[in-house]
Amino acid sequence: MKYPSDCVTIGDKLEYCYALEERLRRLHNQVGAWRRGELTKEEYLKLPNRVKVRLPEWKPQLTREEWRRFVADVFEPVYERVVWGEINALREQAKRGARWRPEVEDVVDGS
Amino acid sequence: MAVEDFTTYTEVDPNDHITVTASKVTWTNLNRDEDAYVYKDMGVDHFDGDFEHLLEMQLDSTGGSYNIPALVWGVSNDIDDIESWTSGLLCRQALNANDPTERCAIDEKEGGVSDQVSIAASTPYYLKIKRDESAGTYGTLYCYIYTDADRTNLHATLSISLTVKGDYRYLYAACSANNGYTDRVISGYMQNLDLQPGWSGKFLGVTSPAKALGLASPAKVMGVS
Repeated sequence: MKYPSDCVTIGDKLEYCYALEERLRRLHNQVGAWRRGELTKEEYLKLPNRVKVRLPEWKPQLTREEWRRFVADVFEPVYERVVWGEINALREQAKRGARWRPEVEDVVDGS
Repeated sequence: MAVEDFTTYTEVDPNDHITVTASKVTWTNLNRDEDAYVYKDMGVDHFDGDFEHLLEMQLDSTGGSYNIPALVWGVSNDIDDIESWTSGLLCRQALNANDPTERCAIDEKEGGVSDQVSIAASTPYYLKIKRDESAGTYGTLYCYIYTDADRTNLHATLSISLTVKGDYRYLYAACSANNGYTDRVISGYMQNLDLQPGWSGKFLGVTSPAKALGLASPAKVMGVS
């Protein structure tokens, strides 16, 4: 994952990844609205170009197969492997880091 | 869509708090002082790889301002209430005492890892629970939570990195969490569990979609980097 220069701590990076996750969730739901026949052509035109090239040309509604293809081939690989993969790795780092704080060690080890 | 027939499952319900029909399991005032569950023996190590299960669930009500969970889906090697499980993956609906708010959560019992998000009571949610063993050291569990049956509107996603490579035998459609308190009750249901037998996790045999699309960075597909 490429982070902006002001993303330094694990907390900064998690915040950045959660923002990406939210953007992807909203993008998923925009394309989902198209599947339901609720996306206008104007809204379609505002989709990111990198997404539009992976989708059919404009029409009133996506077919079930086109929706499946978008979810399985475009959305989930990025959402799961890139964004959630990074979030889970950062959570692990944060957990390991927390154990080194004396007050946490006291609780975990009961000392 | 072939959904599970819950009348073929084993029901342990000493206080008659669970109602089972062919496609739906309902719990009414399930409390934290009982061992009550509905499960099926799928055979040793039946869940030994990737899977994607679909189901619907709703939390109707809770009583008492304490943590009150009820399982809506789970796989385990234990036959017991979830407080007593030593192994397994599960999804639960719950009242979280701290806020207090209704929650949906996923857990791995072996490592004690969990993730949760707020949901609304008396509202149906459509879940997609997926284990991908190739993501992370021991795999990753995802729970996609949608607000529509076609799963086009994503409410939230839960995800945990697994800490063991777990192979599981029993499939649960309902289960109490017994910690000895009688004044904590929960009512809700789950239904239309589809195990999607034959699901491979790969669409049209494409194992690396980003590469197949000729993209060096998968994030660029979605314009997020």
